[in-house]
Amino acid sequence: MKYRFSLFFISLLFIPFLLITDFYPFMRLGMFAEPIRSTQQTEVFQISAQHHQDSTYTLIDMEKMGIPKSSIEYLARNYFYRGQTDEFLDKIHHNYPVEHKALRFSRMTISTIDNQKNTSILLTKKYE
Amino acid sequence: MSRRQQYILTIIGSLLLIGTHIFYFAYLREQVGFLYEGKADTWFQEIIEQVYPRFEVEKHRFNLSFFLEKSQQVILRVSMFVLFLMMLLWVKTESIKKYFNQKKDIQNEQYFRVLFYACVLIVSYDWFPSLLSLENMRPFYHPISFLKVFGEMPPIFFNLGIYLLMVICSILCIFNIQAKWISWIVITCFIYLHGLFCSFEKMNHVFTTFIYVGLLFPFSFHSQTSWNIQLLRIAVCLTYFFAGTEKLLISQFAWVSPDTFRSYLLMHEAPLGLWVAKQDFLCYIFPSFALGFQLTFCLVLLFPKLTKWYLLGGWGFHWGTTFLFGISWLTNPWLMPYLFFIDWKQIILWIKQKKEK
Repeated sequence: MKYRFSLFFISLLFIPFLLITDFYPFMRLGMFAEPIRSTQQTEVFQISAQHHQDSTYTLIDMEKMGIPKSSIEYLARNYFYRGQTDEFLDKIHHNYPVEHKALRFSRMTISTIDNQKNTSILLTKKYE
Repeated sequence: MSRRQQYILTIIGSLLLIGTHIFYFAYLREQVGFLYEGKADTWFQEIIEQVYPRFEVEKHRFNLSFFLEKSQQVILRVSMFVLFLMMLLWVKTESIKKYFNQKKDIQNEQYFRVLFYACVLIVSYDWFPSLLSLENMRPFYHPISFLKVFGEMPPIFFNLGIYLLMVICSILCIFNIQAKWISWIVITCFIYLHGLFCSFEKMNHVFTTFIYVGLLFPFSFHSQTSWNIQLLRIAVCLTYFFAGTEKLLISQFAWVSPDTFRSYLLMHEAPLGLWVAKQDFLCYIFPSFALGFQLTFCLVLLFPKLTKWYLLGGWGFHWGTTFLFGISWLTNPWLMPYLFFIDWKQIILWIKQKKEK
């Protein structure tokens, strides 16, 4: 029994390594495995809101939602690459405690060569 | 196992190996291309959705060659695994039995129990406020693994209840009160709560070996031999081995190049890391040490005398990541499973002798 169980457990340890993915609680340890690729630009995703009193868009303070900035950044990236920016803005809308009439999802690229910044608006949603 | 069975299983393994490669090159490789275009066969798409949920995100970031390379890696690794199993067939079972049937050291296992469940309390000391703040992230909940069964994120009082249950059960285990059964509750709660923290699209691997030893240690209360302690040592060694092999398979020896290491240091911006980034020699030595350490940690199973050196090396390795990259903390959960490699009885005896002198 114990030999069979041991073999079974060791096989479970192998699965994330063989399929290159996590099978929680059995995990793949690929962090830091990839060689660094030199990129010409980095990207930052930003969420801004248009509040009732003004017409301009200002970056929203995620701390007011109780979400760490780093968490919201990778979530925004994932939603963007899955093509779910619309859903992402709706979730922010329902949870952002400051009154607002519109939300905007934008992507800023920063050149690693000359530090030049370029912002493109990906989606604007009105909530009135 | 008879010689005849060994031959038959070796032939089956060889056929499996050849069959996997034919299946890959004749069918699967093409399907990867179709998958990238969203035209793959339904069964293949469904499997990928389950096995590789990040595919939809990574599809937009990487080109087809990245995924073809990845699929090739899977075939290579499966082949390596089948070869490993075929080799195991020819290993004398007596040596395996001898390894697993080592006599149980009751005194040492008492130290393991007290220290391990104290470690559970240490690593989870700040989970109560973390669970409270997780409520703010509720809209972005994306359950992993078995947590999908619950559907929505379970209510806050339930999660806090599970945390309190884990704390109480850990304390009971430390005092050996019904530890035989309660130890299972501790690890179940731990896996549940850590899974919850990982259910916001970001996996935290820091508890990998901690969870493995937590899953295997409770067998100590049900067994007369120390087979589970031997198995959990294998699990820790294999985890390091996989981490090292992963680096070799993905980036070959580019990983030990000083430039790669320097880039990682600059990316994390820890003060000591930025200083090391300027030292060419250290940028060469540190990654070589890390890779060598991970690939050879398994030697402690064959040569127990090396254990103290590897544990010290591991201590340096994990604290190194804390100081150089600012990742994790000094009570790094990677270090805690080391307690199962230490002969506490000998240490206590040595301290007593010192005191008597």
